[in-house]
Amino acid sequence: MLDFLGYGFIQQAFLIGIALGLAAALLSPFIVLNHQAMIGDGLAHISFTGIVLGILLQGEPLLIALPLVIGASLLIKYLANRKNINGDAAIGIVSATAFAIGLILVKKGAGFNISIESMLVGNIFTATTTELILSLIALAVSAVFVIWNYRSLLLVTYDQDYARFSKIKVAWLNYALAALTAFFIVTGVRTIGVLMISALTIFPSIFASQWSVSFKGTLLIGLVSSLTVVIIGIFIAHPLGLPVGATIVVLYAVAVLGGALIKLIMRR
Amino acid sequence: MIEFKNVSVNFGDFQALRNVSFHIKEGDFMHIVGPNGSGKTTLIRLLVGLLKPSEGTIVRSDATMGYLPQKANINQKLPITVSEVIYSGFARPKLKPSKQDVALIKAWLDKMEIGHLYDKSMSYLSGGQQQRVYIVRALISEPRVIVLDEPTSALDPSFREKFYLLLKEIHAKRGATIVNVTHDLTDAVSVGDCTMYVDQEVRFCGSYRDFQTFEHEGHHHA
Repeated sequence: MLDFLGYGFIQQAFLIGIALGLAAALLSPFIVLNHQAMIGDGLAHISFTGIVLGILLQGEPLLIALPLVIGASLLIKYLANRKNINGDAAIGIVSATAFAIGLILVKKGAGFNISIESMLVGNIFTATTTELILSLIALAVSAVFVIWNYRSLLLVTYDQDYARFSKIKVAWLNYALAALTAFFIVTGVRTIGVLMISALTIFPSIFASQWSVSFKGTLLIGLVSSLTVVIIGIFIAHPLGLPVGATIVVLYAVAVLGGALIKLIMRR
Repeated sequence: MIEFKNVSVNFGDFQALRNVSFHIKEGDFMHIVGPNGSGKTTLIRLLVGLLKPSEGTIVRSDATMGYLPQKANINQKLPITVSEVIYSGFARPKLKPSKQDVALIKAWLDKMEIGHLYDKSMSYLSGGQQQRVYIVRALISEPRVIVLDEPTSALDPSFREKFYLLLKEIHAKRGATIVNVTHDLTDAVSVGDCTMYVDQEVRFCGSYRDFQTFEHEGHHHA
């Protein structure tokens, strides 16, 4: 029954899934609990266009998509910092425009022969070595960034005024977090899917904050839950022929709902 | 130590502070009073470096500073414990607080009569208990300058008195410079303290004794 684990592409899928799951869980509390949950969704839409453009222009779409999406994430942050635009609107403006351009390119671009559905849903079993390497880099950079800036990130998330008073470079940190989120999203968008990848950054801290009263606990429970859900997700998705990204998201949703239910019962 | 020279602050058409000049010397205990909307918090935000003046200059020594904001502009939904909030105020915190750090935090929480709340979630605390946590965060690293924006607004009267006794002790023993914005001078003030009355501009700056005369002449501070 476990024979499929012997295949190289399955092992690679596990490695990519675990790396992306852990990277997402590391970034999750600083994005979600800082009212930035939708930035991942917006960046995923922009990644779609970046990858379409990359396929049309050359063989390795990530080389085009990466700088484009990181640039877009910085633009979103810049717009959100303007007094007359709020964060949600900034994400909406940039991502909808980019996605619209992507759809036009798919329709009119000569030689584009990949189905939109396969891009929206993603496929972790057809991932390239480049995607494996980028996933591992995303995990390594996220880990170093969060450990190095833990206290600054915590203060910026909890109390921006006190963070500024403590001479923390709040704007720089927010831009760096946005760029890192963009890097993670582009790396994961083809394997987990345009519509699913942002959920990986949202669920860990939502699930973890059901069970933890501390920030560190939220981060750790997020990491463990992500690891568990990704492994179970790939494990059941392959034999049943389900899309991996969607399976992971449904499992996480079940875990959050189950958690809420258990809490409700415990309170009675 | 801290000097304001002809400082003005404009928010669009509204002038929050006009041509403010004063000097705080090392070891001063200064109380700032004034009516609501008189620019006290703006003045404090200038003092701690959160705001830049529209005109004028502020000279500040590089002494260590502790700060208690008026209403902590915080993310209430964040799961965070009392000890995590306080440890985030340390000058050079590590990923995990050392045994000495834990003991220090516990000693301060005991002083504030909330020792039992060390690992409780902040969302579990009342407004007054949260205020005590922020007070600990401001004071724990023994800063040379302590800036407090209405520290006792959420505290009950009996604890308010204890808090000011503690502050006076810190001032007397360590010679810390203290700037305290308040609506109620009753428990706060000692005879030797400086008092400043602000209403868009500095209307009075001098000893508490002289301030009482200033008040008797028909000026009211709250």
